[in-house]
Amino acid sequence: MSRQRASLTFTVGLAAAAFATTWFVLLSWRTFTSNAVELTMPLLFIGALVAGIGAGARWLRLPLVVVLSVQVVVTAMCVLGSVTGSIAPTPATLDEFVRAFQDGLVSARAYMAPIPSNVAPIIPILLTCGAATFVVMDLVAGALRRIPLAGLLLLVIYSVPVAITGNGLSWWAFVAVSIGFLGMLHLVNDEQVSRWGRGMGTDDDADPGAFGVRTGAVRGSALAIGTTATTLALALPIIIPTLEVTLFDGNGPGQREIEVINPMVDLRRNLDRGLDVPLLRVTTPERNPSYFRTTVLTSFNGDTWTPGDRDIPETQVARGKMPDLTGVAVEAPREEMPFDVEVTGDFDSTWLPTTPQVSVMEVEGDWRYDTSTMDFMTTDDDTTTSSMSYSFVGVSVQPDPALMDNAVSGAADVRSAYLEVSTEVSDDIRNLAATVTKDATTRFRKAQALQQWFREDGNFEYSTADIENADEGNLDSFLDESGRIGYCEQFAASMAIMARILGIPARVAVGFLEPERIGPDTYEFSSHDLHAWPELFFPGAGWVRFEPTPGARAPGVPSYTDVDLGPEASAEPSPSATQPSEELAPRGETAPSEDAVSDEGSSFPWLSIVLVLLGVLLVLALVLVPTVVRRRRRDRRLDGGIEDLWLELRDHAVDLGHGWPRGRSPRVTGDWLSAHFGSSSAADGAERPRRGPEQDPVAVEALDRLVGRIERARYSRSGDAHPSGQAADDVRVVEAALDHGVGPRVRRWSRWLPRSLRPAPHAPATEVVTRETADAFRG
Amino acid sequence: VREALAGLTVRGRLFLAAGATTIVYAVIVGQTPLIRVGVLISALPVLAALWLGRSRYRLALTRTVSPQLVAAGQPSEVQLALTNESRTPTGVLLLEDHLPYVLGTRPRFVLEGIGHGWRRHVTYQVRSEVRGRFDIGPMSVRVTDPFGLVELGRAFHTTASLTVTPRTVALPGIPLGGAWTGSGDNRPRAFATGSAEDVTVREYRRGDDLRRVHWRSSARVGELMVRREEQPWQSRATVFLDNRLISHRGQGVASSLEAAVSAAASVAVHLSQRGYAVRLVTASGEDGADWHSRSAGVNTAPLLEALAVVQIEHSARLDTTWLSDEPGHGGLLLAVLGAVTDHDGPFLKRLQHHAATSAAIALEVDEWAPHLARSAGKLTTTALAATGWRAVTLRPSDHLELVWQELGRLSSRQGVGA
Repeated sequence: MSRQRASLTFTVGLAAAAFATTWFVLLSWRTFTSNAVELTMPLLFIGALVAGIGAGARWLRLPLVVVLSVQVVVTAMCVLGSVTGSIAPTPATLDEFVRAFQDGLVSARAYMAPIPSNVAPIIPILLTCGAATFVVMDLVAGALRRIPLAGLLLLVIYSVPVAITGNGLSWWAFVAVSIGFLGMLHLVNDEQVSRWGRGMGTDDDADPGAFGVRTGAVRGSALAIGTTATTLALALPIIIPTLEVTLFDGNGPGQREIEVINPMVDLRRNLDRGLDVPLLRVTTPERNPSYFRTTVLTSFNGDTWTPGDRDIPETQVARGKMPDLTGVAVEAPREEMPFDVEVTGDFDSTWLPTTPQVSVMEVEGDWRYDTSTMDFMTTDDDTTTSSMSYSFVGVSVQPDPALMDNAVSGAADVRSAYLEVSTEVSDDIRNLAATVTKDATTRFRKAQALQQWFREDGNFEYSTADIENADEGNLDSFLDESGRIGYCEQFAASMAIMARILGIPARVAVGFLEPERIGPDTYEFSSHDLHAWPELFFPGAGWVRFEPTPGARAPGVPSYTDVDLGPEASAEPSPSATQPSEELAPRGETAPSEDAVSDEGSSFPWLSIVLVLLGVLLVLALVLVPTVVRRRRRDRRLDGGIEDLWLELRDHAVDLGHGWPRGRSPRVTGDWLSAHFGSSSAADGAERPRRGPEQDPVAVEALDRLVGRIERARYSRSGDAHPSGQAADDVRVVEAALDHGVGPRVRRWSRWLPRSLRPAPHAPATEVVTRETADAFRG
Repeated sequence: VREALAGLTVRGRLFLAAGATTIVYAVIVGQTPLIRVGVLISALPVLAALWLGRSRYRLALTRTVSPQLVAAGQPSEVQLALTNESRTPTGVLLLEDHLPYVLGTRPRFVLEGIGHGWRRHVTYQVRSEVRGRFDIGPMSVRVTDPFGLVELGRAFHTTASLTVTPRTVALPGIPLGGAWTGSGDNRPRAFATGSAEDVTVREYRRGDDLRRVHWRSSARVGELMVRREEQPWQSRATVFLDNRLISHRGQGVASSLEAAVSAAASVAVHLSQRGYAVRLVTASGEDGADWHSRSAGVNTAPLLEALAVVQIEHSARLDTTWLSDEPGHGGLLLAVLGAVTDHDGPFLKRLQHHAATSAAIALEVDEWAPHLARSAGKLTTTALAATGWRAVTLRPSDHLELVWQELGRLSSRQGVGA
């Protein structure tokens, strides 16, 4: 009866531990969705139910198949109920569930984690997966008791959000998971041990429990080991290099991520607000500062432009000299101007407004730059631009239209993401892009044609009246003949997309258009100056600004964009053209190479690779030092006199861990030594080969000769003559026999870490092992 | 600690490998939250090994087997006394006493958290249906950690032996020859003192005549020895057991050899109880022991012990050296024979001449292997009777007592010393 009770405790305990551990690991999925409670609470309920059913059924010894099917059915009903509100699997509810599931799949594909709350939730998917996990965990851990396998499963669940979002569990949840997992491991192992010990003879007068002692002390040890391991797991990642895990990183997911606020929302709000609030005050000797950029939007998901994924290491702190300009040829004329910026308290942004190209940056706080976009952002949640000031040196580049006209495709020089066109972009837009630019022959001319089309030929109208409705998904309607009313964001977005369709790398920049002059060399940007424009990439010229927004908003276009390049340009790629081709050839070469030099990301690994190599070499040298020293000493001694040979023998014995008897005569020492001989014919792999003088008679003879020599050298009147080469050979034979007397591991240690090099006196290691008294018998 | 690391179980090694892989993967891919997991699972086996490795303990075990000599089917008791002579060992100790499987299940104990000076006794029974000499022990000790990641094997070394003798049956008294008198009634009688060499000595007892002190022996032994001026006559009996492979059929416990051994044991016990000095001879000759002297009383243990370890003899040759040394001195000879072939004729003849009286129990070995084809040739008993043996046949279904009685009837009919 008592065993049965223990078994109940064990069954319930194991199921509960498996359930709790799984639930805590599933907490890491919170990072996928913005309303996590809708996920975790149903999962808690389902998990408890699954564990309860599992434990109860195992206690009643129901067959595994029955338990599993009951669990699956109950779980499915629970998931159905929590998604559709009714647990009855009628066609209507099933249909609803399938629809919700598919909607979830669509949002999962379209949005980054966490999925925003205003789109179709992915809760149905997560719930289904989570519930399935509970069932499988209960099967693997509870029924089959394969805890390491269960651990593998937990690792998979845990690594899914880590792989997708980079967020792990918070430290307390990790501790809980660790406790749960180790608890399961110990429970099962303990149960196995107690089952092992039950083979006691069924004798009436012998108390079966007389010998088996379970004081529970091992539970304390389990706790100690588990606690230490968990503490190590929390503490050690801080030490492990290249990683920026902090010890206690807040209480949940999403805390560590760089918050990328979509600047479009700001832009819309500010343009719409009516009041023209001053936001920036810029002091610069530049004549007419304009086009201050805050953010670069690099990725288009079919509906909106977003800043995309940014991977910004700590090394890219915006302080001091910035990397060279991306894709701009060194010969291109440029002009540097200092800027001092003061931000008013009204401008709350995590992005720094600067000129598109910056060579030197001076700013307080943890601001970082992205090497590919060269925009500046903060990684700290509390820091915004509000009421701060900074200064930088801006670079203005005057691209050469003729050069751009001749430029090769820039696709190879930039990340492929700059050319990605979402599959959701309709064919109409693709056709439109082709139609508008059909007369243009080069990429640059196509870009010019696009700009011209947006500004004048396409009958577009600038209006901020409809900003509120200017939501995602209406790119089609904006470009349609009947639409064509919009504001800067739509113009910029459309042109960038169409440029990408045409094979020109493009992105959208968000920032300020034109300031108001308020004093000598002082200008003020206000909220109505917010603007968006496309930037297109041409090798040799870098990212070049275009202005598709009609003149009502942006009166001027960049000078290079409306240059008339002349009809003969189409023939230019031929090598006969003197001027452009001469320029083209070197540019074509230099642009990519400069790109490589200016790319911070690619120069860093070289340094670290060299450092790592040096480190490896150093470690290798350290590892090799003992064996090299020992080998040189040995070589020297083998050439020396008989005493040197004897010393070499001593060191070899010490290396092998035998020690060396002190204060004994050579003969006694020789006898002692021969007891450690092993046979050369014995299998090499044995850890403890047979030892003894009888194992290698040849070596014993050699040793006898050596002993004779040293006795003569020490005790005879004449002393021994300088030993012949045979003595050294004898030493080699004896050493080989000694080597055969130890296991391969000892031999390896003696080679790489010889004990004879240690300064401490060598004493044979004695170790206390189990001892047995002589058994007493009665006959 | 190195030993403990070497003692990692498959699970421990798996954990270590998985943890290291996870860490390396996480560092390369930069998924920092995974490092924790890697550190956790790779630290576990290392910590467990450290924890077990620092444990030093001395356990002393005393094993007592009583009785050491039991007949097949009789229980014997094994007593274990375990003492912890050192600090509290850290791991869980799993103790298992190694027994041959015929002795029963191996007793297992789990020890955990025993303190210094801890001492326990435990007793368990062993029982064997098969004769033989068995080693009890050694006790093996496995030390494990609470998670099953490390397992160290240790073992005590000594073993105790248990001898299980063949089953015997009590036989009724029948007229037998073999002694000078021809009856089972033998008593010591005085012998005429001849030369000093004939004198046997024994140690001095109170009341011995000082004149009988044998000074030379006393000087050699270091204590007073006296001459024995009387010497018992011995009634000698030889039990010959044919244990050759070719003479027997069947396997293991159900083989005809076992029946022969059992019959020989019964006869030997019976004869020594009747005052004979019995010696055992097998196909390979005499076992080391000499005539088991009558002065040991009815202690049949050495005989039974010798019979307990009788193994089947693979060679077809019969050792005859024991026959040559003292012809005609054999006294009573009782042969337990299996199948007899023509090659054995000369040997049997010599056997008959060697002994004063000879009788045989011949096993009808084909009956022990009914599935095999019967060996050609006539019945062993008839063949023996033809050469002048007194022989009876033993079949698996026969009771030995009845067969023995039949032998008695046979001898009374033929007359003693035929």
